[in-house]
Amino acid sequence: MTKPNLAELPDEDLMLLVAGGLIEPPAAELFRRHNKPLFNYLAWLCGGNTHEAEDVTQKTWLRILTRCADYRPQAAFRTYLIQIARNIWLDGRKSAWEVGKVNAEELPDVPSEDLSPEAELVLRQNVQGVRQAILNLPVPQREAIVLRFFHEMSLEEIAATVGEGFETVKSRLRYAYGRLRSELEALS
Amino acid sequence: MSAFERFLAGEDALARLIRAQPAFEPSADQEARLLAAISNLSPVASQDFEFEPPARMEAVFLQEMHAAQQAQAPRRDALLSRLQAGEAITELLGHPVSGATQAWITEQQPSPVAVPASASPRPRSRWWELGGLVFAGTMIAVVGMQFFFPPQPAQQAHVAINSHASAPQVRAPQQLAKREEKAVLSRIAPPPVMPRRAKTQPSSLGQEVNPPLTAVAPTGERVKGEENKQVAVMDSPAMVVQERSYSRNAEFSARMPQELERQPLKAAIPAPAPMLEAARTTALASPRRIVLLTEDPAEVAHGLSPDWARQALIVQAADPQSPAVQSWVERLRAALPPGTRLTLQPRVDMEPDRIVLICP
Repeated sequence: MTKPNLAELPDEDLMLLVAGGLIEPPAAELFRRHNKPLFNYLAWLCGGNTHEAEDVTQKTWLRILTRCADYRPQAAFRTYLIQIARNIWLDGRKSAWEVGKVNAEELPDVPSEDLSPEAELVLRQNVQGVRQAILNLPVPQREAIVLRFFHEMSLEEIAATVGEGFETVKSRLRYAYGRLRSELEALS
Repeated sequence: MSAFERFLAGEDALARLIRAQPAFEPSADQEARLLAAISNLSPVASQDFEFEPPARMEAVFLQEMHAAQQAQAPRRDALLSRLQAGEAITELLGHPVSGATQAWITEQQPSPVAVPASASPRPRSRWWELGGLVFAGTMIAVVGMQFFFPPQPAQQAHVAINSHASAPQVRAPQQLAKREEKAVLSRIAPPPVMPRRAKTQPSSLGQEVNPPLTAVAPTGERVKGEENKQVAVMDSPAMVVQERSYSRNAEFSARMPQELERQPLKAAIPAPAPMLEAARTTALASPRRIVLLTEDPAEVAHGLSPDWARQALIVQAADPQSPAVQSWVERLRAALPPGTRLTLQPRVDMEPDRIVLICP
């Protein structure tokens, strides 16, 4: 019989082991799998402020260790982790978050056509411009973009993670899309 | 399909541009340090992210993970012993787990047959190499649980430290054991109101590392208007160290899964008197003091025994970079004998207004 390898265990099982008091190897494995994505999510959320992202990331992992018994494997561990991280982040940024909220009832007009191939080509040469355009988005919209395109979450997963409705998430992405198109077309 | 729908599906030019954002790759040195810190783990497949976490995060996480590992020893031991007794993993963890997980957790169980010391050494996992630490952590954690589960007012026993007593005495160990078991079984969920440190006085190392413990029987009615105050007076820094352990343990225990909370106490918790003795032994092994930032560093330095002050001290604080901590440490350094080395470390479970001094 081959020796069981922690790397083969699903996230949710690892977290159950941590909750059961078997902490070190399972927690280290979870950290290895998720620290980079978590840090990346928070760095985008913090507008590129990596110091703040580092602070929130550390607090998140500590909370995972100290509140491990709260975990119930009803949702993906990734969702649980990001929820904790965004709650910690929100604790210090509530007002900024409120400013960035959008009304799901008022959907903006967005371009009906795709970016032209020429514009895409130009923008591919302007990576910093694209990056800055993403960072210029209001936080909830930026968060939706990051979860959708860097974490490959479905709209349903994003909605579950951020605790909002499907339509709200979709409207945030719609706003983000309109704003990015506007900024990037000006750049191109 | 509209342009926006194609964007949502990740199929349009804008989605491609977003995904094409380049990653800030960590340096090879940073990656190596990470992998060295987390031993026995292979590198994870590279993922493209714009931001990469700095390596120092791992050190903090590993430190806290190790502390949690020790604090959770009672729960872990109880779980493993129940597993060894034949209980289903699903029942113990409260949720079905994969076959690989079952195999892994089965491998964590201690061998049922004791191996003689003369037998050829068998490679053991890291868990059991740290057996001594885990045992000490268990003892502290278990003592902490006694204080975590507060008694009913009529039954309340106040623990006081008499720094002048000559030997540890436990006047009512049976009461403590009953109180603890009753509290666990009734699943008291809210976090405890920890005994407030009413007074901390500088004292010599001898007093610090030899905290005589006296558990005093219930004192009867409290003084009116003082309901929220614990009358426990902790003059001994060693007891204050225990208070921190109680706090950490309380946080874990307050969220203990139901299945584990119902486990027989005897499986995880030894009798009170040996526990107190073991905690005292642990305190002896790790001389340390917790002081408030409001205390005068010069007085603190003056209160340290000469043996202690001459050595390299570890100073732990919630935020070692904060100006208040830096200033306090500098004043402490100035008050210590020349050449005393101070190593400042983060300790995130500390209250911001406290500092731990450890003599390694």
